[in-house]
Amino acid sequence: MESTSQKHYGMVIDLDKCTGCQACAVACKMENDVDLGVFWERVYRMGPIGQFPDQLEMFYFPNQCMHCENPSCITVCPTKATYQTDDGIVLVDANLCFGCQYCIWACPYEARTLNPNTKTVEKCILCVHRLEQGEQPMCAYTCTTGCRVAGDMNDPDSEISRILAANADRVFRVHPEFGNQPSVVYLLPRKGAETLCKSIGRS
Amino acid sequence: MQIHWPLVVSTACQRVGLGLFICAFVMGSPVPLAVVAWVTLGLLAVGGIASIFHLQRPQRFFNAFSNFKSHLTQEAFITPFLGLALLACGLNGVLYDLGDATFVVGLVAAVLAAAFLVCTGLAYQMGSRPAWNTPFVLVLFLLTALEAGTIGVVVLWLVAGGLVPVACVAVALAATVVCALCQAAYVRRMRSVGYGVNVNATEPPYRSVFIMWVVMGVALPLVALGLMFAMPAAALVLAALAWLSCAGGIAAWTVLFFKGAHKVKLFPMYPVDLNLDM
Repeated sequence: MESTSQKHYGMVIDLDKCTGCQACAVACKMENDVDLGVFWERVYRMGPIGQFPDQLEMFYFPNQCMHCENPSCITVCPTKATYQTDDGIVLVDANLCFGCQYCIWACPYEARTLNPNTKTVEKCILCVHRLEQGEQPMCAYTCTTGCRVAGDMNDPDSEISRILAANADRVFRVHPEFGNQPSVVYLLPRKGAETLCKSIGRS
Repeated sequence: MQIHWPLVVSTACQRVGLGLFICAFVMGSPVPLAVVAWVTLGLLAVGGIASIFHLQRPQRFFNAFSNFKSHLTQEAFITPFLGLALLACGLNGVLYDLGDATFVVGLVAAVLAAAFLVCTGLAYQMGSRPAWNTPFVLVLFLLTALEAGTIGVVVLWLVAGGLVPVACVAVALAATVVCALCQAAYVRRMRSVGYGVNVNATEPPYRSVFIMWVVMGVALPLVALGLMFAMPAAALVLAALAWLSCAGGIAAWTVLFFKGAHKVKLFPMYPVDLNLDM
């Protein structure tokens, strides 16, 4: 029987696996022809803090548009240039954007950039053109450690759903208190992020 | 956060202009409301032109009317009606005489002016900027307009050549004090907003603009208004100084408002974090 439930695309990123190689950031730029000085995808190093050897903390954090279920960028955009597809991907129509940058201010995740060449706001599109072909976004395809998996979060048999179910104790959404409900979900590192875990009430 | 100068200019002009019109309408104006309407229209025009410079693609301005959930769209939607209402007030007695309808047209313009200020205040109230994530933002947009407006009405009385009612100066003084107290409370709150973006306005790089706000937005207007009682012969100069200083204080305050509005850090507990504050 054909499933009638709506697709909801998202991504899981396992911070335990990310080595900070930046291959995803490079692949994103190449795939989407992202201009110089503009990034749709970045990997940041968090730390190091603490004392070697037992209390040292450091991990890498890939950051991109979280394709929120309740995106503040869409609420504030006066031109409706920012919109959400039926399957949950948040996109920007560059032909409508007039560069007020209000969405950049409203996004809590530093996911948006004003392109100085096009004078419009840009961000990750979750490689929607690849997802529609049944392929992974270029960042996930290129990732050397396989820390990223994108897919339909509403499909319990999808790889992303299986990963989330198998790692339920490590699932983490950034700043859930803002109510944006990000569709990019992180898996906490098993080691090296004790301060973060403590701050969100995880052991 | 970067200082968006066109927005500093536009919001300062809006508050000074709209505050003047609202206060002149509510408190009573010694000069015809038409004159006040033209002053407000002039300031709104300057503000509008400045805000156009903020847009990266101003030729697409008319796209701004698309999303009624956005406070910017609400602001854009109010603008033409506000402009028409002010124009109707401004032409009253020149091209036509509205007679008894003068009050109604003035009331409509005043309500639209207040609605415009509310939309602007709400537009800046956002969760991703902890310093702005407070009703203080809206309250301060309204209070700064009230402060500038009440001082502006004092100037109008003096320009009209009459004696200023003491109550009018008292209201201006009270508005300035209340506004300054609220601004001080906002500055104090900025010190403990969390998310790794606490701001101490009395320290660099905020110190200079903080001092500018204290001098221009609080000290000078209060001293000038107070001196009007001691030096009635120089009342017009003092009131004008208070009004201009108040406008400068609003601009200085807005610069501090932008500088202190850092975006939440994703993981403030780690020393290396995103450094892309835009």
